[in-house]
Amino acid sequence: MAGGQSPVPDDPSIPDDSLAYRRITPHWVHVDELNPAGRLSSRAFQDHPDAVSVALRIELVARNLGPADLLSGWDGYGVVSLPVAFLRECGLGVVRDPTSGEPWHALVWGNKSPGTRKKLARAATWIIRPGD
Amino acid sequence: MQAVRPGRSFLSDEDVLAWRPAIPESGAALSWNLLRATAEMQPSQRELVEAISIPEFADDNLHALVDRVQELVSLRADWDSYGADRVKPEAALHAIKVYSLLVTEDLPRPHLVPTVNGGVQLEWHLQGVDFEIEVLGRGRLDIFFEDDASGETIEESLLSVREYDRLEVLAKEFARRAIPAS
Repeated sequence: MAGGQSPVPDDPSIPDDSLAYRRITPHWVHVDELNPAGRLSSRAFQDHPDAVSVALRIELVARNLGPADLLSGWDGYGVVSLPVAFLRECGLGVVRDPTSGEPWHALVWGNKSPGTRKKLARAATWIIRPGD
Repeated sequence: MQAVRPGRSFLSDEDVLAWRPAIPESGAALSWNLLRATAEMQPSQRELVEAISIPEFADDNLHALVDRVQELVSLRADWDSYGADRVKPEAALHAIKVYSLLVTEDLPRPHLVPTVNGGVQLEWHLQGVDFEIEVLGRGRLDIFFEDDASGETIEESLLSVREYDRLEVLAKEFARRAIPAS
């Protein structure tokens, strides 16, 4: 890592070809005549407080769960996916952070400048659109 | 000090802070009607209310943004499902003030989105040009401007209203690049 910066936390046991899912509130989706299917705001990938929360597909699959299960209790929300490899290409790292309610929970670490957030929002693939 | 524009009057930050005690901790009673009514009840604040105004042609945009502000400040904590902070009323209303400083007939209505730390972001996206302004409170703004065609990217923070002239420059640049007739 150049410049003496600390390396971005990353867990190499999470494979590149895994997917990271993120719940999306409808407040982050613009729908207008230019974007009738909805455009995702870059603010969907803002650290809070230090990283971005995601769910790891490999951990969901291991429990016979899928992205729809992430919306239990979150009616009207959506889910997008990003390949872990893409997150790493953006200079970010992914680390497991299981919680009692969400054992598939992980954190995406690293600097998310406005430009990086825009790249993430553009690369995100809709799995479930809000309201579906 | 920003120049006063002709047209309908609007609210100052001082008004917003003065009204804040009327905003309950949960749920939102922050509405256009409440704000207008409060303004009418407090003549001493009229001078402040007159400090910002929006041209008549932007009236529909203004009402839509006030409706959106009402929606945003109504959000409970954890509105993003990941522990987001409640939207600060002063940030939401300051976002409208920022819009009032930029409004022209060319500039479309911005999207207003909540940010996880209690702020509000104004966003314009047209013709591959992105213009985003994050409002965190009553002063500081974080700006992102990117033109996909040229690859030009601008990231700046404006720390006080004294630096807001820069906003007008960027808004005009956005309109010039994104709206062909501008």
